[in-house]
Order: sequence, then C-alpha cells, then structure tokens
Amino acid sequence: MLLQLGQIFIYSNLFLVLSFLFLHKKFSNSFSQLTLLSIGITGCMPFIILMIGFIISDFSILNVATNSFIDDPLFYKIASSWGSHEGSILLWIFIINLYLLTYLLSDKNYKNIVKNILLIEISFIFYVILSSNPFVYLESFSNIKGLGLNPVLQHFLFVIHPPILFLGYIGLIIPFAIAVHMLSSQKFEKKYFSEILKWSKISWFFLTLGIVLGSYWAYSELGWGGWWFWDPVENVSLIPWLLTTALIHSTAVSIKKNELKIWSLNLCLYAFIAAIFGTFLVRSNLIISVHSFASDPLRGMYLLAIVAYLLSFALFLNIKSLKLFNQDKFDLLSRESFLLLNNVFFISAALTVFIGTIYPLFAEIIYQEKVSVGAPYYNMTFNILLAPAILLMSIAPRLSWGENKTNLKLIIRLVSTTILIGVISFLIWNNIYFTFASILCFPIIAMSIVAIPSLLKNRTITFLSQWLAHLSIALFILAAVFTEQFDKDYNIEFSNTSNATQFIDPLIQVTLNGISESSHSNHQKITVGVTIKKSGKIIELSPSKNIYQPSGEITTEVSKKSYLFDNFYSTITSITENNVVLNIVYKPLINLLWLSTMLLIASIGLSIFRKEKYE
Amino acid sequence: MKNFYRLFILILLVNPFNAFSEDQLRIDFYKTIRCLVCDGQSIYDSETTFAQNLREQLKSKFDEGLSRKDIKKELLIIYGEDISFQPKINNFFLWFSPMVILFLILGFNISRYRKNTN
Amino acid sequence: MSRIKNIIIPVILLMVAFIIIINLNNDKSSIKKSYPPLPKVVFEELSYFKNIAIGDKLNEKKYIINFFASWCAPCLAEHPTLMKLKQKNVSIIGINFRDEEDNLNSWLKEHGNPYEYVIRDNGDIAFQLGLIGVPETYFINKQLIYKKIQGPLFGVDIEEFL
Repeated sequence: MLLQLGQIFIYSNLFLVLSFLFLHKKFSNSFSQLTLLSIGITGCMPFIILMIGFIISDFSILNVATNSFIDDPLFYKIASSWGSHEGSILLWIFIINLYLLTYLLSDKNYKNIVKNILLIEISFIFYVILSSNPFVYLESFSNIKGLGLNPVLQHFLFVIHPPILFLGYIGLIIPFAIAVHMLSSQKFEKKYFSEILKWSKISWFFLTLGIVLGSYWAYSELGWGGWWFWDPVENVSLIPWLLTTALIHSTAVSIKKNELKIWSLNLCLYAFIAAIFGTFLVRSNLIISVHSFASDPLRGMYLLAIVAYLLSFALFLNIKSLKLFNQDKFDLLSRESFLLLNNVFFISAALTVFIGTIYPLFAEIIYQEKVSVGAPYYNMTFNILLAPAILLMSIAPRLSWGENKTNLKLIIRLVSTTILIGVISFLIWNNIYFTFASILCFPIIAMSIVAIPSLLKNRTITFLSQWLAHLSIALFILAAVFTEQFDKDYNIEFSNTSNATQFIDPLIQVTLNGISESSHSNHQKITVGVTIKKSGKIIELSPSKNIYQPSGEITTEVSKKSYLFDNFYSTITSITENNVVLNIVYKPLINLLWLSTMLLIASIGLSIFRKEKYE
Repeated sequence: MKNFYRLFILILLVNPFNAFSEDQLRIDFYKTIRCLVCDGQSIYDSETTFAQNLREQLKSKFDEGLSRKDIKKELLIIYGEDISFQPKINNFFLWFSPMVILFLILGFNISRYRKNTN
Repeated sequence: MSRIKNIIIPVILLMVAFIIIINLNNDKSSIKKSYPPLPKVVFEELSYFKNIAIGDKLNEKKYIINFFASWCAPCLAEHPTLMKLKQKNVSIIGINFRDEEDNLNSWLKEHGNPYEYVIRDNGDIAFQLGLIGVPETYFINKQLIYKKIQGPLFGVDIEEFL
C-alpha cells in the first residue's frame, strides 16, 4: 500500500513539473500558483511515505528491510530513512520542495526563478526513477526482522547531521536559480541580490551547523580525540561552506555598492554545484572506497553527468556576460577591495581543498601510484591561504566604503602591540604555531572587546552579528591551535597484580573503581569506572564497549567530562578477564572551540532575523 | 628599534624551555603517518593495533638515534607511499596549484584594477 | 552557436567521466606492487629456535609465513585452511603477533598446530614485513616474497599447493 502510494506521488510530481515547465506561459497567475503548490506537496510526500514505512517497519519495502531492525529504537528507525543512498536522494527531493514552497510563500518575484529550481528537481526525479527508487517490493518479507542500522551510526548527533547539512546544501538552490536568471537575462536588480543574501544566510546557517555537528560527533564518538581529519567526506562539505562565506561577503558589496556583481553571481553558481558534487561524491562511494563504486557505475555516471552539465552551463552563462566583467572601479584601500581580496582567498582555499581531496584518485589513475593527502598538506596550503584573510578580517570592518586615508600612527601602534603579543605568547607557551595564531587573532579580539559593548548599548544588531561572527572565528582559531598543540594522550594498564591507583604523569592520578555489565534493547554494555585526579580537580569517567545484535559488532564508547574549558576523555583499548588497558586523553580549551562554533551559528541566525541595513 | 630586535632574538636563544622538544617532534612526526586501517586518521590519532604497533616500533627507532629522514625512508619502502600524509614533492600539481591559483586570480584582479584606474 | 557549445562541452565532460569510471573499474590490480626483502631476523630466530640450519633447508622450497594471534577471530576462521596446507606438507612459519605465551599455547592446543615453526613477535617482524593486521600471509619462493594476502586465507589463495 505504502509502496504504491510512494510511486504514485513520484510520478505525479514528475508529471506536474513537466507540465509546468512546458506550459507555464499559458497558465494564469493563480493556476501557476496552484500547480507549484501541488508540485511542492507531491514532491514532499515520497520521503514522508518512506519515513512512515520505517516507523511502522513495513518490510515489504526493500529499502526498509535492508536498513532497519525491528527492535531498533524509534528515533533510529526514523533516521534510517535517510541512511541509505535511495533514502537520501528522496530526502534531497523533499528539501528542494520544502524550499520551493517556502520561497513561493515568502517572495513575490518567483515566476522566473522557480523554473530553474524545477529544472534541477527534474534531474533528481529522473535519477530516482532510473536508478535510485527505494519503493521496490520485497517478495518474502513476512518473517524477517531487518538487517539493522550500522551501530557506529546509532548516535543522536550523527543521525540529525545529514538532514541539517542537506538543508544547507539545498538552501543554495535559490541563489543558484536567481543567479541563473540574472546572468541569462542580463538584468541585475538590487532586489534579487537582497534575496540571494537572505537565502544564502539561511543555507550558511544550516551548513555551519551541519559541519559542526558532524565534527562534534567525530570527537564524541570516534574516541580518538580528533575533530577534523581532512577526510574526503568532511572536505566535501567544507568546500560549499567556504564558497558560501565568500558569497555572502561578496553579495553585501553588490547590494551596497552595486559592485562585484559577476563575482557574487558566479559564487552562487559554484557554491551550489559544489554542494551537489559533494553530497553525491559521499553517497556514491566514489572517493571513500574506489572499489565499492564498481557495484553500480551507472549511479556515479549520472551524478557526474549532472555536475558536468551544470559546470558547462555555468561556463556558458559566463561567456554570455563576458562584457560585464571589467566594470568595477574602486579604491585600493577600501572595504570593497578588501572584500574582493577576501573572495580571492576563499576561492583559492576552496579550490585547494578540492584538489587535495581529488588528487589521490587522480594520481591512482594517471600515475598508478597510491598517494595520501592529509593534514600536513592542508596545513601547508589551506592554513597559509586563509591566514591573510583572517588579517583582512580585522582591518576591513574599520574601513569605510569608498576612500580611506592611511593612518600611519594607528598602523604602527597596532603592529607593535601585535608583535608584543607574539613575544609574550611565545615566552609563556613556547609554541611557534600558537604564537602565530595569537598574532593573527589578537587584533580581532581586542577590537571586539572595544566595539561590542557600544553596539549592544546602541542596539545596532546588524553590526553586532558581524562582530560576533568574526570574533567567533578568531576564538575558534585560537582554541583549535591550542588544543592541537597542547593536548596529552596516555595509556594506562590495570591488571590483577597492579595497583588500583597509578600515576600517569607527576600531576595526574588515576584510580580504577570497578567493571560492570548491563543489557539494553539492541546491545550489551561493559563499563569501566575510573577516577582521575589532576591538581586538585576530581573527574569520574566510565568508558564502555557495546556489543550489538544481530551483527555481533563491538563498538567503543567514549566517556568524557569537562572542567571549565578542558576535557578529559577515556576509552577502553582492550579488556580481558585479567586486565584492562585504558586510553586517557586531555584536551585543553576544546570547549572554547565548540563554544566559538556555537557563537558563530548564533550570530548567523541573528543576522537572518534582522533586515540588513543595505536593503 | 634595532635593540628591540636584538633583545627578542636573545630571549629566543636563551629560552630555558625547549620549544622543539624531542617528544613534540616525535608527535609531529606521528601526525604525518597515516593509519592504513583507519578512515584518514594518523597513527597519533588512532588507537588501533596497527597504529599502536607502529608507534612502538618508531619510538624504538627514535631511541636508537636514527634520523627522521631515515625512519621515514624505511617506512615508505616497507609500507608504500600512501602511508605518509605528505605526498612526495614530485607531485607538482598537488603542491604548487594552490599558490598558482592564488597568484593567477590575484594577478587577474590587479591587471583589471590597473586597467580600470587608467 | 552558443547552443551547440552548450551541448558539446557537457558531452565531452561526460566522455571524460566515462573514461575515468571505466579505468577505475579496471585498474584495481595494476598498481605497482613490490614487497620488501625478507628480514634477516626471521631466519636468525628460526635457527635459534630449532638449532639447525633451517635457512638452508628452506632455501629452495616454497613456504608460507602466517601472522596470527589468539585474540584474532578471523585467524580462527582461516585455521582449517592452514591445517589443510599442513596435510599437504607445506612448511608454514607461524608468527604469533602481540600475544601472551599462555594464550598462544592454549590456542594451539585447542585448535591444532599447523605450523612447522612458531615464533613470538612483539611487533618487530610485523613491522619489517609491512603487516597491516592479523591474519596476514606471505608466500615465499627462493627467499623472495611473491604474494601477500591480507585477511583470512581461503581455498582459492592456496590453489597452487592443492
């Protein structure tokens, strides 16, 4: 029943989209609205139906049977609906339609733009029908219990992270559609730029939130203390984020000074293309495991075809507007030129991440060599590319639009204070990288301390969100560098013959409290209780191992506790009848890192809800 | 001004703490070695048997006094190029493209700026 | 004119993508494979263990080095395959990787010993051979490694001996 309903909605959606695309010129305004509304609804339904299938455990649907287990908690059953490839494509279509509906209801200029959104939607519907339809009938489904969701994925944060990221990726479809319209019609109305800004901010909000959640999940769940591994999956979400950041800054210039228009519009195009490229690269397993891709080459080909088509279309639009390229004129020392530089740095950074991610694949095909690209590469390229942007970030807010006079005294004062900070930092902490970070971030923090209280007093929310966002970036960098440079990792073994209390460091004492076992709905748990004493602070941790049904898979559960900004963190390395080996990690200032990301997300949210001064 | 710089360098040299301690160098080295059974983590980040064993082996080589260069060379011969997160320099495209891209875009903009203000 | 450009460029990109995908499917095994030389320590240990010049004995033969551990489940899974090899009189050197002596002895007693020689390793030999993880098996002929199997051995891997 559900299966048939799902199919019906998919096909009716296809029919409605096709009829709108071909016949919309003949429709009256109200009929167009009605058609678009029904497109939105029929587009949202398939995913909802799939989710219902998971909730009631309808194993006649193949997708439900292969991705969920009858005894899984309800929340994870819901999450399994987007856990599979087919489910995530359906979620993608759901969100496109959600944005379509929201756009219809909130903006009056929809007619030209909606066409472009629908063209994208149609390529996904074809994708579902041709190769990714989850509504496949499973013949003998009566006595199966389901294969279950991978235990590693059974964590709240990881579960909500894909939909949130998707909300971010697909939010870019509206700026994309608007940019396509503006570039093909060659009309650059200010109201469209304002719309681009609004929707980009919404997308940016969800992108940032999604990336942070994924990172926080990795930190909490993987148990190794890391929060960013320059993994292809992570990189591929970072690229749209970087382009969206550039987009927002560039669009502000387009609105305020009617400049950098082509930059902004191109960023709209490429941010969305990067989002599509990213999400499907992950979902089609092309990079993760080159060999598992061989199971269905058609899927990858289809996605590459969509990306190839969009790229060439973007190129075509650019060729069309070539004559508009060289129209901007502005002073070298002005906010516009700094924001232009900002575009340059962010785009270079995004391209670097892309190259680093793609290169191992490239090297394997062309040079027949296996190469690994990781943190060392990105530290030497990405960090160096963005460092100047951070410096710009501290100066640009103090520049006005248009001309600025150079103030030599101010520059000397700023430079000498910064050098002083650098020296002090090095003397105290003795670390080159942290010294650089303090030099980069100090100006922003200092200026924020001066600027923010007066902004709060005058209630100028627009500038407040800007300062908060920049401040959060500076804090993030400081916390990130500090935690990476000064973290500590210990291994400690307790056996029948050793003491229950040991010292892993002159200042740190660890006591084994006991080992216990417990039973849960789909797993068994073994927990080790331990107490840590560091310079007077007492922290109790209880890392554990979970053994899942029905697969028998064993996962390592992390136990962590915070003391102010620091984190103590423990996992079980090995456990036998006679001994336990624990891994204990000390991460200083890591909470400041998460706090700064929350501040960033809050400031983006704040900026969405206040109308920008430029409008 | 000159005396300020001299003082700065003097402080750096007689600094009682060692900014480049052996332990720190070793940890930095571990962060550049990939754990081949993990998802992109280094042997410093990972607690798998593979990573643990490799850390122990490398530590004893460090204790023997072998240089980082020699240890890395041996590691690459035994495990292959992909164990290092730092691809060889002869992967020119990889290493040089970020800067090339940056300069291309910057150059394009500078020439445009010159054109517009003349 | 620009319409044609709009069609040609995606077609070209599509063809490039197609070629890349086909290549990915085919080139799995053609990546250059070279194995490190057999570490001297293996032979020194063997000689010590048995007190005879085993190095000479094994010089001309084909034999197998198998890394295993009592704490490793897939090692148990491949155990029958190893026993079959022993029946066919294939020399297997077992290297017990990061294990306890008691656990090793009880494991061999419980399941049977397919190995001609057993060496205990704390990780040194594993490192010299480039071990990824247990179980792992090396095939040696005339003192050179010619094949390496990561993971449990299956019948198809030992066809040459059957």
